Amino acid sequence: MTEVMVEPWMLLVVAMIVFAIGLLGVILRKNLLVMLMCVELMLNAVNLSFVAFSRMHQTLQGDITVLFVMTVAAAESAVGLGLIIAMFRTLKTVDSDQIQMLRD
Amino acid sequence: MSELEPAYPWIAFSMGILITMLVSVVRIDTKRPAQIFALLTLVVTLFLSMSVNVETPQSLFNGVFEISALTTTALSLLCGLGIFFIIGTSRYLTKEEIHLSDYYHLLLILILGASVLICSKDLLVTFIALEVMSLPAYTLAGFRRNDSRSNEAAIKYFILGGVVGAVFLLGASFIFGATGTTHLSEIYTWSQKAQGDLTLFYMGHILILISFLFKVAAVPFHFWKPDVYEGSPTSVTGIMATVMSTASFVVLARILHIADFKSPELAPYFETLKQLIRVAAVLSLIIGSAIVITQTNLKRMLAYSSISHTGYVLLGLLGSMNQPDLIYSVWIYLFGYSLMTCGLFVLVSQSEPKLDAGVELIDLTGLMKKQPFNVVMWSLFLFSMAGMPFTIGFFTKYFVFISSVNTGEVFYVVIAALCAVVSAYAYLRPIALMVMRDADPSAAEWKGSVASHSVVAVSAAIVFALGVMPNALIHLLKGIPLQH
Repeated sequence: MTEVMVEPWMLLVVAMIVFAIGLLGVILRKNLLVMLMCVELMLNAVNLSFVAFSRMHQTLQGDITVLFVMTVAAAESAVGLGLIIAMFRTLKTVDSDQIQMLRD
Repeated sequence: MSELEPAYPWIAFSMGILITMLVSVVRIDTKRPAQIFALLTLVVTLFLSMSVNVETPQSLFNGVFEISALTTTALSLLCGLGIFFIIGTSRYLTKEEIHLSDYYHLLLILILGASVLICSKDLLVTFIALEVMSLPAYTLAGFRRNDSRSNEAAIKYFILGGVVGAVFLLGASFIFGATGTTHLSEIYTWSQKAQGDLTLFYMGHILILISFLFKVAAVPFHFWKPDVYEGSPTSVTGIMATVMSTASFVVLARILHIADFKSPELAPYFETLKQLIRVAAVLSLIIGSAIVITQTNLKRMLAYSSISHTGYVLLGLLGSMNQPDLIYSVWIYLFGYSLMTCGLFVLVSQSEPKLDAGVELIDLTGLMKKQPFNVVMWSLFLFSMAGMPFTIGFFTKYFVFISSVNTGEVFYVVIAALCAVVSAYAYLRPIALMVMRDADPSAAEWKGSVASHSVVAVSAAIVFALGVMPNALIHLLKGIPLQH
């Protein structure tokens, strides 16, 4: 069995694909919970890209960044879930198509 | 003397937030303690930030935190705005039945995030400060929990803000990939001897730029602003329009000066960058001023007006890209715009609409008979927005135009001046409604507390005084460079 080296560019390709999935998910999906998950997916894709670049430069700075980003992402999802619950209480829906009181 | 001494205002601010939080845990049912401690925190921070010696800029914590004339002046401005809003909108919050102790400490965290954002010299710290500023803002936007419009504003703001945060981070990771550092001053040193293929750096820079153009709501990234402004509680909208956009503009200025663009390698990219800023500025000016005249909801109108003001600030930033010392026109704009917007939003928060709808222009009819004093205040702030002489709004526009003319962007000044004329109609229309029309049967009542009237009067006095004698302000802000 031959050993395959994981090069930084491979990680980057994966990171970009995951980021694109997240971005498309936010744009295309209508369920707010799924949109929240897609935002988290984007943040995690960025984490992967930080790790890849960190490895490329042989430093630890990128890896440390990932820890901070993970913390912020956790706080963000907590706030997001809270907001979605608050909205569900008044509107009884988590469908982004059905919330359109604010219009020109 | 401790080496942390220059950071005392920020440390005191954080301590104050912890104490406010503690107080609100102990006495959750009343508003007074939280409000008093929040005010106390801001006042102490204001005095400390004015007493810091900033003759030589200093950087702390491995250089990620800059303390200079720019950051202390901005911190004083943010604290002042915070104090104005806390005093001025106290009655509004009680009326809307907002949970007060939570409100005040979230507000303080928001202002802390904004003040750290201004000092940050590292992309990671910028991201964290950005989120510390934004997360309370999402929550505050949804603070009228039983109003579905407030919930909708919060959700929209949250989803878009989350995407923008991720885009910023992606940009930061690209810059990290290209330069091997997230530190702004190291990026600057790197750029002076950058060679070869810089595509990764350019991509990262553009992504970061987009995320902050989004935060300041420059066209074409403006679509969230009217909805969020309309849905959020008025006091929170005021904080967004002043504190958050001031902080975002300072970061935008840092991002536009992130690298040494004079080096021949980066010069072609710099021209493209300027072109992008020109396009964003002109689009913001035209779309902002064109739509502002069609609005009937007061907060939506102010949202579109702030989009057009974003255009003017971008013109000022464009001038500073050509000639870095012209950055003072941006500082004057942010200072003046924050003051008049603060006064206007405190005025808007005095309304008591009869229906559950937002504050409409029609609510202003007949105000002359009910509250002649307030009509004078409204007129002063609206004149200032339109850029009439004898108000600070005139000088904010004047210096932006001067800096653009000096750097050869005459064509854009002409467009901006035309847009100012068009949007003047939108600012004069409310005054006409107040003075010339009798009260509409559906018009709202307007009641302000003594506190909110005095906040309005103080900010009006500053707007007028600086419009007559702007020299002191200009002298203060002219000496503030953007550090590297």
